[in-house]
Amino acid sequence: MTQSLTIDIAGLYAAHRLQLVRMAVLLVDDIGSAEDVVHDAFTTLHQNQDRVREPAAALGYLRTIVINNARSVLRKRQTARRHLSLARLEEAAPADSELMLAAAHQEVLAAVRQLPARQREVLTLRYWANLSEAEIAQALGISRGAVKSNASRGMDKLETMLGDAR
Amino acid sequence: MNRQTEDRLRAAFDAKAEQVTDERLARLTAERRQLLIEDVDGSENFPAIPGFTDHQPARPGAAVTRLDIDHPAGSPRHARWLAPVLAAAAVLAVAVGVTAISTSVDNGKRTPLPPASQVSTPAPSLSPTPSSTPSGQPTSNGRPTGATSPAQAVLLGNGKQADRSQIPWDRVGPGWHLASAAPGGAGKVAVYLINPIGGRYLITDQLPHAKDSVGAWSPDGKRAMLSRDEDEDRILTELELATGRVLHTFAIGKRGFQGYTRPNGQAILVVRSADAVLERLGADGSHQLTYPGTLPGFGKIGFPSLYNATGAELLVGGEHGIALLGNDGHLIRVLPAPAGAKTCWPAKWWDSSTVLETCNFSDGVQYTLFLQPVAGGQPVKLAGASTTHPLGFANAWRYSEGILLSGGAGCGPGRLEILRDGVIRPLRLPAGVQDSPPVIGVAGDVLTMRQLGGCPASDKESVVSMNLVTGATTTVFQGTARLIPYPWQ
Repeated sequence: MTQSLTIDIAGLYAAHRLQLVRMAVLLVDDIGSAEDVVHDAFTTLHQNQDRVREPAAALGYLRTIVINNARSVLRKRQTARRHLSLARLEEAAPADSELMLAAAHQEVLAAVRQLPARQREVLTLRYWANLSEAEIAQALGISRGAVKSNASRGMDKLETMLGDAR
Repeated sequence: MNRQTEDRLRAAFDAKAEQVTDERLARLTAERRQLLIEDVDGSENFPAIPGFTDHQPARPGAAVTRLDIDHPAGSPRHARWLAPVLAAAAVLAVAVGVTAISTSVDNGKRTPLPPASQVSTPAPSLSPTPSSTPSGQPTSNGRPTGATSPAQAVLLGNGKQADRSQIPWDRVGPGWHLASAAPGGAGKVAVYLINPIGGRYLITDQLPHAKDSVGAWSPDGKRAMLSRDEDEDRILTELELATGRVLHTFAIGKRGFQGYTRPNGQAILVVRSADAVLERLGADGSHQLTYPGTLPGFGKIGFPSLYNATGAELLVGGEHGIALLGNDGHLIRVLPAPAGAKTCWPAKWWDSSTVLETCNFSDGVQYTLFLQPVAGGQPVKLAGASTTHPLGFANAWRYSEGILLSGGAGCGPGRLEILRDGVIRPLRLPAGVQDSPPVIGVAGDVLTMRQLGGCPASDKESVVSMNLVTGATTTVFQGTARLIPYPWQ
């Protein structure tokens, strides 16, 4: 019999959509963009099912697409800001939802937004998604060494910005 | 790293992420629906997922053309254009039913499994010179009833195209591929048979739907099942390869297509999306059997499933290992998962009495391959996760000099490795061949793999074959296509 040809997208959606939107919101800040990013990822998975090696690898595939899509969102935002001639290119304040968070959390998230996209991605996957170095490398398409160096540099910058004691 | 910073980071991430709830997402969807502009292009397909399809713009007046296979023909729920299709399907269903009664399987009768020598097939040649006697070609497969073989069975050269009337059916077997591609032009999909050296035979380019793609090749080599999504339905179209004729078109609703049954593909397997329950349908879409969703002592059945060669037995995966079922769904035996495995599934038949089993040992990706005797007993570890291969291996193929291993990955690094004499080494790919390519299949010593040109998709795709012993490569197909290897025998 031929290998299974279809992935249980409905099951994946039911089981993982919320977590993927949560991961995306840590990358793109606002929930609307995060939901779009994840929705597009499921659409892409559906259209490219035959490119996933094994059905059980579909979650890793989805995660990679979400990260790629999030990166596109951030790039478009930066382009839009340049066209609007804003003085600062770093991430502007997010939607008002963050104002509901404790001040301490707002400070940390504001610092994370100052990081380069790759460092932010690595820290999100490590400290929120709890992925291993190998899984982060696979999701981002980089080496494990690059994961380590991005994590280290990102944390060093955060420590400096937050003034945390060493 | 500073522990305090790590803790603060985790706490901030958790706090922000927890602001996202199902209720909040539902509110967002409702707000957006008020603002959506009708999408005038109705050709986009989206998977039918509760809540997911709510995201799509409403299309007032869009006709519902849904065929519910549990309702008889003539129900007012059917669109008018389906009536002649249903009538033809009914006639064919009678013919198929008569044929099904007279065959030995696809209905569960037990026959001895073929010996192991018939499960592994020898390598097809990549030489453009046709051999006088086909080597290792099953004699009874790939030759449709009533088809006329061409007078000269010359293997079409690489990159060349010919009509289906030129297909050398006596030579169709391992190393051949069934393919669907959209070569250009609005609304046209082409279906081909592609020989081992990249010559292709056009089965048809008259299919009206651009989204049809090949889903399975029948085990008798005579038919192809194509699949597409339309509104909330999955539509299957069965094609007779010798003539290019459409045999059946039917909708399976919100179900995933799993493939043909064995040994001749008289029926198909589908999975209900709502509850992940396996069903058997006739090749015309008529319902035959619903398999149990859970088994006592085993739990919920997972996928993929794997028939044996005779079709009398079926392997399924799950959280506690794999289970052997009769074709009628009764449990024969449970083959317990190795200790620590989170989920396992049957990858392929290794030989007539052993299945290659893939088990995931983490909540993420950490695959280990085992050889599991179907009669029971301890599985033998073939290859798994290590410091040098942290994601492990998801699949394996034997060839004359060793075992090809495919790394566990979705889209990204998932190298191909060779296991030989107990040592795993990277497969050396020729210059120009992409690292960590998705494997389409291995026939003898010939690996066929996809060259993506990007992740997850790219318009620079191709399909390349490589002889694992000599390293010789052939571009089998240039462009984006879906390829299915010749069914294992």
